Amino acid sequence: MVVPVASPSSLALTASRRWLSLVPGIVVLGVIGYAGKIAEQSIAAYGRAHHLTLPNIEYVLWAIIFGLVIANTIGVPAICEAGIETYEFWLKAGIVLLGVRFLLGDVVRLGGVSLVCVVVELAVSIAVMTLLGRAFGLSPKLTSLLSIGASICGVSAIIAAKGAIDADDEDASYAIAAILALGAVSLFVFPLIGHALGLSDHAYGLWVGLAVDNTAEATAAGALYSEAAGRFAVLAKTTRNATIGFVVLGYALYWIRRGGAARVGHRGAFLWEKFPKFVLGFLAVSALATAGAFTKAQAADIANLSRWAFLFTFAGIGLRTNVRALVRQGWRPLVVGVAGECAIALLTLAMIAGLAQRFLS
Amino acid sequence: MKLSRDWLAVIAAAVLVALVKLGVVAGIPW
Repeated sequence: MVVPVASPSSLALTASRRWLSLVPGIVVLGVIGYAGKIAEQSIAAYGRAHHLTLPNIEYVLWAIIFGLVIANTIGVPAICEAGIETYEFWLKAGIVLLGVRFLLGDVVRLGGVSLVCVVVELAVSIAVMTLLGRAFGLSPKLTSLLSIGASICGVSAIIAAKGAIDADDEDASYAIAAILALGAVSLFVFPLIGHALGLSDHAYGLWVGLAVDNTAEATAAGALYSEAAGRFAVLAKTTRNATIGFVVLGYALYWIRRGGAARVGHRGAFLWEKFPKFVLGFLAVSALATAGAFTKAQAADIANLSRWAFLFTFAGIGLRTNVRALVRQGWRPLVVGVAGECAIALLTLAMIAGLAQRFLS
Repeated sequence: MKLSRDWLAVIAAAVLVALVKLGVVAGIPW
């Protein structure tokens, strides 16, 4: 049998075509994100010029709303889809760069506090979602996926778990749709509750990092409150993300015992494969900043690069939220999701209130 | 070998950090 071998020049051509196919979507992300920034600045300038006290709506929300409206009205051309999918790349790069704003000691201290909360949150989320899934008659694997999505990090955890527990595509898209719908709602609800309760930036950031499922939405919900809250939300969420391998491995082993999933090879290799590598990048940049590797101006530049990366992410959140697809998914997973998320949000809020006086300023 | 999106993000961020550190990129506005 003759195996066709691609020549180096044709491989290079394919690679460059693939990179080029990303450009239109990335341009769309940049334009929508920047339009959000202009909207925030224009409204603030108008208020100043006319001596009006207008609510300060962050560019984050504008970028999400613009993306949401475009994706659900005129739609996004197919040529832009590949580039829009890069929003997660920008999120991860932004988190790595944000490491410059954290001293390693703070990461260890706050990460330690977060980790304790994360362990409690994981146990409660999994228990609540499992009970609700059974009560509403969802399939066991859909219940597992919803539990994983609600306890760790939304979409990426569900995708990681889908392969590990051999779940159906339909179950995975159901779970993803429910988590995304709840993420979109949390963007509006969490800042309102945070302001109503007068939470500090630390407390609010930690709460959002623990209770909002998807990393992109947690980052946005934090940034909507304040820049400092956004940083703490990222730190808490990153701590939560770091546990993804353990939870997915636990579920994989559970389903293997029940004969519903293929064997897991080496457990260490499995954990490493599922571990979010950008956490290591975040810690490395934080370690460099702690060691004094950057001048004040350089640290400000790196932090600003992180903001630009997040600007692309926030545009992507709106653009990939398809309201019609969410409605089509039916009401039961959504009810389970809403009930579960409310329980998790309340519990984590109670935990934060308990911690606030001792650990958070 | 195909790099995961995680590693690509880490590498891209590392390149940017290096460019800032070396002074090639400076004065990033916001």
